[in-house]
Amino acid sequence: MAAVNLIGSYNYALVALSVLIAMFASYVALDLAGRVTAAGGWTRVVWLLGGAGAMGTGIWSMHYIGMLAFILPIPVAYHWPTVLLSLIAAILASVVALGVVSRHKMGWFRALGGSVLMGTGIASMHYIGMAAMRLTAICQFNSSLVVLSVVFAVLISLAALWITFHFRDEKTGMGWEKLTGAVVMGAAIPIMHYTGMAAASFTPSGMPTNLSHAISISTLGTGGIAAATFIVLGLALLTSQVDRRFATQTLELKEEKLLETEAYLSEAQRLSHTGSFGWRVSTGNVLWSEESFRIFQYDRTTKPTVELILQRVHPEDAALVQQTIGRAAQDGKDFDFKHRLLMPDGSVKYVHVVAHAMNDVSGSLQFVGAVMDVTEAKRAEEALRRSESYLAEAQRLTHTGSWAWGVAGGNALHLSEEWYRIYGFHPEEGLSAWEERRQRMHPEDRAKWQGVIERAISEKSDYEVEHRILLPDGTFKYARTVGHPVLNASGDVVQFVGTMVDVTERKRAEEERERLRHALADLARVNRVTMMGELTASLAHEVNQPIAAAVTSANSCLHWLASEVPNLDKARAAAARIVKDGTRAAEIISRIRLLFQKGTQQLELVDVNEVIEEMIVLLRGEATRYSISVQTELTADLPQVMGDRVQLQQVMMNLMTNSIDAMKSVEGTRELAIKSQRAENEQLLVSVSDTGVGLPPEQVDQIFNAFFTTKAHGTGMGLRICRSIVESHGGRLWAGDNSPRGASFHVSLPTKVEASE
Amino acid sequence: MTSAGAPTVFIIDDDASVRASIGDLLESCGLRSESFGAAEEFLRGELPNGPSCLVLDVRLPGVNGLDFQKRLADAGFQIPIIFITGHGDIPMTVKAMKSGAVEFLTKPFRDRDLLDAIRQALERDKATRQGRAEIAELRKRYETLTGREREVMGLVVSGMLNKQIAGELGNSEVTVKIQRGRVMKKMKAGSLAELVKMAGHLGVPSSEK
Repeated sequence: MAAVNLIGSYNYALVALSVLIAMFASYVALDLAGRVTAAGGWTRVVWLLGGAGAMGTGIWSMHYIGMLAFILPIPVAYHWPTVLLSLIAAILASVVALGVVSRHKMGWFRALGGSVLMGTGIASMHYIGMAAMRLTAICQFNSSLVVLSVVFAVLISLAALWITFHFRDEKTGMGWEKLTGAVVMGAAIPIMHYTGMAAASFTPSGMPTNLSHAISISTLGTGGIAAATFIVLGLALLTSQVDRRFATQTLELKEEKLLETEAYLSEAQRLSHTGSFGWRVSTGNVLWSEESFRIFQYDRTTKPTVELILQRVHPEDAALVQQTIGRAAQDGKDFDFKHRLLMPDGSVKYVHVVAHAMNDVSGSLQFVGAVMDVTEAKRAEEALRRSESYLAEAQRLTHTGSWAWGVAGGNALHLSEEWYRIYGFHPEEGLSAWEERRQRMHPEDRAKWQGVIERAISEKSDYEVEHRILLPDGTFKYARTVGHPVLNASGDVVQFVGTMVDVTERKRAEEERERLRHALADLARVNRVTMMGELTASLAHEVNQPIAAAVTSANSCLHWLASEVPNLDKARAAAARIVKDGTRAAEIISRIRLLFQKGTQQLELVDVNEVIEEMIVLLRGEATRYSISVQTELTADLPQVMGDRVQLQQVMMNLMTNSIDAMKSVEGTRELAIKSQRAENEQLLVSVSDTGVGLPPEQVDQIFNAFFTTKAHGTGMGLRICRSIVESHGGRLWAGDNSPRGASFHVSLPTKVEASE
Repeated sequence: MTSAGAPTVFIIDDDASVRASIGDLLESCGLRSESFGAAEEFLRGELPNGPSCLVLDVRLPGVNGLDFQKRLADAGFQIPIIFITGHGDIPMTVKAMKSGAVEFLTKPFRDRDLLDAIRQALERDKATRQGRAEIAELRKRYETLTGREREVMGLVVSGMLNKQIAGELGNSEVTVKIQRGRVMKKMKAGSLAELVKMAGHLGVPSSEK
């Protein structure tokens, strides 16, 4: 047996075909890997098996086309069961390969294991395929080249797995990456094959070949194999593409839904002024939702960064923000805080930022969170706080505290700061001060207060009570409390709300006024006494007249009785006159005494006409003395005035004596005219006019001033006091000129009695 | 004023009680009186025929009592006045008395003081009226004298002797004597002294040369 190796040659067209098939198969494998990854459950198994079948067929077909391209000078047949076995090996290898690459993750261990299994599979397929050869030659293998071919198979598998894993793309039907991967893989598989072929050398044996189950592959067979392979691969590819289309459509539907959801979310974010963000700390990548862009007022196309955020932060809050996110980034902790933004137009926004820290697969820290524009809420809150502070200020200024208390437990529900202040508590003491207040209530007022409250509860009515507050320093205040019941739906009193006003100042002012009233009364009395002193002669005359008449009448009475025949009728008449004149004298004296009387204002209903007439009686002597005629024009049925009789008499007397004084030295008519009449607005008007010297022209305004006088011995208090008296009666006193000569003084007094102090 | 001889007391006071009481007092003493509230009312009334006097309040509405006294005097209306006043002071009293007031009484006065004053005033008025009547009679007698007789009377009362008068008039002493007798007769003078007194009342100027 000649040990001469048979020299094989290659049919290069078939070699090219085998390479093409390898590339096509690779492409299909890449495509299918994507599908397998996309699928789940049993569809995944179907895709895996189908894909592995197609890919295995491709690899196998490449192998046999490559074998057929090898031309030996002897006929070569193939034992078909072994060929089938090699196909199974190729498919198994493909299963392993697809199984590995279609996983979502691929670690080094898995990749290495996969490539060893796959490489071994491919090598097995190759050498099983070689074993299927039936030819009249002995096939010998160069062991080192065999090992090299197996190593190539494993390396190629590794490369294929890596490429496939990284270029598998579910969506892209045909991409440059995939194509490149297919070319690389398609080129690599034949390298292994042809290295394996190079390891084999054939030596003719001349021994008859067992040709059972052996078939010879003709050129036609070669074409058949190639065609079948292309068909299988094409079908696989087609299926993959169709499936991808469906998948894409499903995905589009899903995407549509997702977009819709996103739109809703975006709208919700817009409405709630809440933007979302993601922040990968290591890369500084920041993702913003649309609303976040709006809140920060950055263009949608801007790439958000922490720096941009800081640019918008209010300068006063910059330190806080940096500190907060800096610490969060360092500690990987959630953060939640509020700060201000200063927008380019100068406006200020308030934002509330909440973020959750999380670590992704790679272990890098990222924050996912929301930024809420709370400006409106903040403004509302500020407005509320402002209005509350106005209220508090108003309470402080008016010394008015507000409160509310529940009827059931008698406990306080609300106490304003001013309430605490009035009671001498600190607002920090809280509602417990409510109980303590009982101790601060003046002991004498407690029972009254309690009674008022109880009645208000039982009658469901408003209440009002004035009580004193005894402060720890021993001083006390006056407080006026007004309460109003709040009823529930069934009409029961559940609480009382109300105010407490510190009326101490008012009280003190009242006391002060009372003192002033006393002072005025005293002063008025001094004035009256002075005035009466000046009038002594005239007053004495007035008293003297009736006394003189009475004395004379008494004498004549005696005469009538003393005559021989006593004239009793005449005597009786005389006695009656004595009674009348005595009474008259007594009346005048009592009137005078009244004017000397001491005492405060005593209010009663007074007939002003009567007052005028009484004063005319007292002053008649004085008027007569200076040849002054007194004219009166008093309107009958004048309404009465609520006032102090003596003080009103004083006013009339003062005005009349002034008039008399003004006329003492004038020539011609001396007439004192006194008029009373109704006036508008339920007032009555009294005028006292004279034909005297008149008012000093440039001093009309001054005549009512204290200590202003034109008289030689005047005190200058008369008119001042008169005005005070009239005003304390709610009236007015003023002066004017009389026509054609002299002065007029007018007094208006309210006839409707009002509850005045 | 029915009977010419009955005395009347006029009262002027603005106080009705005072007027009434004084009137009654006078009545109780049998004196007639008439009252007035104001001076003008009194002036409007009839003038008194018989002896009368005036009780006048110093202080009257519209006019002062002292002024009124002066007005009456200026008008030649002579009537004795008794002033009454509620409060009199010394200057007022002096002034009133100087102007011929009978009395100045301060209210209330004793009835006797008033009645005495009234009595005195009426006396005075009566005397005044009497004096006025006598003078009227003398004047009437004097009217009957001739011019020469009046001359003689004037010279006689001046204290000249008949001879001196004759020399003065250029007559004989006898003629003067006759004329002098006629004068004495016509004038109803009982003595030279009486004639001198009459001449004094009449205000006949004693002719001295």
